[in-house]
Amino acid sequence: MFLQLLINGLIAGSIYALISSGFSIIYTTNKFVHFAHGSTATVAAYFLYWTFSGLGIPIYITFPLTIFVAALFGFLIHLVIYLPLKKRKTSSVILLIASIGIMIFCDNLMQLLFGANVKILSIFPHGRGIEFLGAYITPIQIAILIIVLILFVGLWTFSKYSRLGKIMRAVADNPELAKTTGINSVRIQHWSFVIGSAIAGLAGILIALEHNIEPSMGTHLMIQGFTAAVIGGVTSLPGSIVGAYVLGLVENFGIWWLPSGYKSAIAFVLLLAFLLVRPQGIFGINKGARE
Amino acid sequence: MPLLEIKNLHAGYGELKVLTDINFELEKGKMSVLMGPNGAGKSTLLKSIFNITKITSGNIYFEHENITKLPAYKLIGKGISYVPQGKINFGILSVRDNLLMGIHRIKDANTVEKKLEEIYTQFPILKEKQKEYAFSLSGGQQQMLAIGRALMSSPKLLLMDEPSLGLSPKLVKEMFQHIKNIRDNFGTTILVVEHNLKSIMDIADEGYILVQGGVIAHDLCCNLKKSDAMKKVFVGEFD
Repeated sequence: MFLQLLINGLIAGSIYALISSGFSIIYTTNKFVHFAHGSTATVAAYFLYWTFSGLGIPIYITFPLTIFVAALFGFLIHLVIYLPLKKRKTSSVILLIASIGIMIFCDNLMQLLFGANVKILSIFPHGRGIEFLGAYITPIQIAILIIVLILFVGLWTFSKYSRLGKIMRAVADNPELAKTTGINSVRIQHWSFVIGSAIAGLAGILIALEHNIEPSMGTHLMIQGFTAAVIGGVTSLPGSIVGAYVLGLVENFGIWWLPSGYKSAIAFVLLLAFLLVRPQGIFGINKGARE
Repeated sequence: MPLLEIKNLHAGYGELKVLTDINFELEKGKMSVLMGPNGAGKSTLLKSIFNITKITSGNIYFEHENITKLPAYKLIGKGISYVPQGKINFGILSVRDNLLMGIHRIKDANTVEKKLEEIYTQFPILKEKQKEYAFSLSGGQQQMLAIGRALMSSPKLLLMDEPSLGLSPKLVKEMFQHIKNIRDNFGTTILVVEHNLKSIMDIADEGYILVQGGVIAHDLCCNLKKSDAMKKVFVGEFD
């Protein structure tokens, strides 16, 4: 039982981390809550469903194409909706409201185009899974764990050592100063949407394989991704990933004692507890007095 | 030949008009200081040159090219660097990465390393602390880092907004020595806003006194020191 819950927790954590990490990248460079981030995963999942099940395009084309479409979707949202609002110097609250609008629009558009019923992607048939010390894990779940791990090592290396990664951290830390050092902040914000949304696209693919596709999937995920980011420290990329695993594990171990219907309640209790006790999250840096 | 020329400049923030009809020239290789009471528009003038305020009319020329409408990131390429006031470093980046941000458009590793060494020679403490987070530095070190970053792009014109702010008298002296070295060793033209008038006047070449958004006096520092306008600034008559 323990091992099964551990595996389930890690898989849930991996999926949450795919949402929270992209969300964190976008939040830190843009300083507003892009709530429609989850919808990018929904759009990606439906795009995959349409191209694979509808048009019959093979997966080695549809998988990368889906990630590309997700990145493009995020970029266009920033270019067409957020950027004109930012140019009018609107507050982050207005941007948040705009993002909720986009989220509702996307969820309903997917429902209009594909219907409200659950879609199943039968790319890899779900088997019973492999038995491992009394616990079961499916090949797709193993793939999720490995892909997510590789992605996060890559993301961490990118953020810490690459030129663009450092510039993104600089813009995240102090956008006004970034401007005075000759950094084109808008370009960097575009990049944050492209990278964050590409990760959401990957999330859409993996969730479509592991679970089912439905119009509101992204919104539910966004709530968990947001909670995970707050727990880990929303301004820290590693923090948002650790937060996702903490959330996944707490939710799954929680149902050892509580009925599984309380899973979301556990997430919210954890969110509130962190907001009250450690609002900067596990990894949020407290810079102290020297600024 | 003037490096920078400002002609009939009017600027401010949104509806708020701060600068009215500013005219002045900066000579190549000289250090000029902007003085005046709080709210006179000294910082706004620096920001206007760097195009981070709203310029309502007038023109700014750099090496005879009209740069009034160029965005800040293009001005760096032209050879202008700006050290702002307040939060002057990227706290969550290392000291080294902060310096690299000043030259982020240049990809050639040799050029970058050479430039880094140049800055480390000027400010040895930055080399010692190159791997530490910028937010952990003291006030004086923070200022050195900000100036170091501005110098990474080898600017022809360096704009500095109160580099002595929050520093102890000993550190102020040290900071001004660094600024003097930048002019003397690199031949950089410097425009600095300062409140530490006595110390800055000893090293600067020319001074401008700004009151209520307009230049009321301009002269060589040695002449300006004895002027009536300067006395008024000292006793706070314009405040």
